[in-house]
Amino acid sequence: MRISDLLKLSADNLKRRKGRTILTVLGVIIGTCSIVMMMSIGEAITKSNEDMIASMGDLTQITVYNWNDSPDQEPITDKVIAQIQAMENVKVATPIYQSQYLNTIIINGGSSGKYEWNGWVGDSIVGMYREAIDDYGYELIDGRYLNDSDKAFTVIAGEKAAYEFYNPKRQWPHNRVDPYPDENGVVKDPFVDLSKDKLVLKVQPMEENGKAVERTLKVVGTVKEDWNKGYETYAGFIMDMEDLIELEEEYIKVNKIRVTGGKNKERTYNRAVVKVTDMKYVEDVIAAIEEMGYNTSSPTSWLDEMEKQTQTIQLILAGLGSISLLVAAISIANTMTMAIYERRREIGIMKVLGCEIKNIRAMFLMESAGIGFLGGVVGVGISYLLSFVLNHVATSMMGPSYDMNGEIMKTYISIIPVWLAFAGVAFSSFIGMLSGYVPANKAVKISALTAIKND
Amino acid sequence: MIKVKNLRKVYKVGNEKVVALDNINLEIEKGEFCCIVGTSGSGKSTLLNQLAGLEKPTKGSVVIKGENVSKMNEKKLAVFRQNNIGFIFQSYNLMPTMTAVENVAFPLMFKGVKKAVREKKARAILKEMQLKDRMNHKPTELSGGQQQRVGIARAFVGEPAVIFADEPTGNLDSRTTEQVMDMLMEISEKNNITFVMVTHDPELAKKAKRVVTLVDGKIIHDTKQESEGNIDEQKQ
Repeated sequence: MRISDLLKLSADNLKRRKGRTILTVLGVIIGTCSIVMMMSIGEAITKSNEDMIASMGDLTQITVYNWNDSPDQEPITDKVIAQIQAMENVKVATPIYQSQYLNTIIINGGSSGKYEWNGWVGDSIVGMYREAIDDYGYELIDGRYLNDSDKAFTVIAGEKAAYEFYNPKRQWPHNRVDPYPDENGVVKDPFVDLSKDKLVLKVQPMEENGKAVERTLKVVGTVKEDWNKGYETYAGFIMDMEDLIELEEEYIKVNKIRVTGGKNKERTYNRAVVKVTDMKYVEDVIAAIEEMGYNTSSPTSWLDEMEKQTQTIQLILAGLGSISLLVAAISIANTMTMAIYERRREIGIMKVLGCEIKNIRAMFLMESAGIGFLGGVVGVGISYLLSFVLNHVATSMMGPSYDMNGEIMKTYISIIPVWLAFAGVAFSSFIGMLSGYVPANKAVKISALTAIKND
Repeated sequence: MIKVKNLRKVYKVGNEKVVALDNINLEIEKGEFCCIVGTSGSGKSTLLNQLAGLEKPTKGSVVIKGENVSKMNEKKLAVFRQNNIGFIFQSYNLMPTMTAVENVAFPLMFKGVKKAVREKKARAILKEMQLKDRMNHKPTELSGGQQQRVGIARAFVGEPAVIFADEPTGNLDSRTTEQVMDMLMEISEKNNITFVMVTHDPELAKKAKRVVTLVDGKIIHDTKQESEGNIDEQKQ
């Protein structure tokens, strides 16, 4: 028998009992809807987790730290960082210099150093390997990265660093320039021109009668604001770590600070960052670093944790949704059993006329799969509609929310990816066929004699 | 064409055994028009079911075209029916959702014949049966006689070697009965088809060249009428 003929027979049979077919399909629609909606809620949770983590930081970045809180932990040394750098898929590894001796840093700029910038080492002033700045992924919008011939205290500025200089003699808000356009769309120039004005960096002494240390800065580049990297890209400075170390040593010397540990002690760091070539390698690199005995943290590791939780939630939701599909499956089985009972005579006639049993079975399986398919298609369609309405209502009810870069985020309660739509239809068709299996096999066993009996 | 040997069929009703057919031996030749006559409960319908392979005998064998029908499994039997057997029912048994053409073409569908081809063939036969203007009607829109003619067309469409008919005129009035009976005889003779028909009406059976009379599951008369007035009767 041709498949086209089988399909037509099945379709005609479904059309023949429209009312019953529609009711059964309705059950499948509700079942498919509940599963797809439940899954879509899980998808939305995953998506919002991903968004949240992506806004927290660079997903290819790993932070290695050692806060000396445990004596067993290996210190992070240049040798260790070189080891990490040598690992497969590591793009760059560099310490982020932190100093326990350097207090507030003030940079004076503008004419006669009238304007001031305040910051701290390791936060708004980031010191790292000179050659790592490039690979770490700071995006230049002006100037250049550092090169080997640059003198000490050549630095790169964050995008809005110039606007961070303020006039300490005046009151807020007249003491600074807003970096964003005013109501007329005009962006005012900052007080300081980083590329031309003289910039003097000063370490504010910790003690009242302590001595300050000063160095002159030269800005050669500006990087784009990127909150995945940190504050330094907004209004800070990036520089060679060696300059900061030199500054620290000078400060210790002039203030006669007693330093614990010998002079020849190997340099150790509290914090280092590792940039991996691709997100998919992050886990491997983390494992390798932790194997070496260091603690790490990375947005990706939170992502994993969250994904595991979301999966559990999604599974529970899908389980709840599948209850109604189970009910629908039972109703398909019931409909098919009834249909077969009603059509016993027809089945008998078909057998007498020479229809093979595999075709009879196929006909009924197609009918029940057809019910599942129809319900699946309509169910997925309705799910899209529901999903749209839910998201719309959610966004308007909760009001717009903002991510960490200040951009408006749409609130998603339900997301139906294409794979879920297809999976929904495939699954409901499969359930339909499965529900029809036992009735179809019953149909096959109906004797050809049924056609002869006159009842 | 059809050879029946020592055929016996026993039904179990409760704890009792009922012998429906008892040691039937019968041979029907190619192109023969054979009527099986008997009263209700004589076993004539049971015999037809055995012949058409709708039921398995308790003992004995039915051989059609050299093949033992009573030993075939369902799958083989289905293919055998597709190629060799046509069937006419008392209550027509047309598919209620299908038109006359679709009903006639139905058995060819099982053979995998293309829709265009099988419906062309069906139309030709319906035309022959004077149902030209009823082709696209559903069974409910046809009279009993018309329905049975569609049923007959369906039996002939696959050009089978044998056609079995179970009281084909049982639901028809006497005038239509006459017409249908003449039509059956004419077509089967024209196409040289072996025709086996069950009826309870001895008058109707008289039209046939061969009449087998059953009483209590046994053949009591087997009359062969070679030509007009020359009756060769066998008593068993």
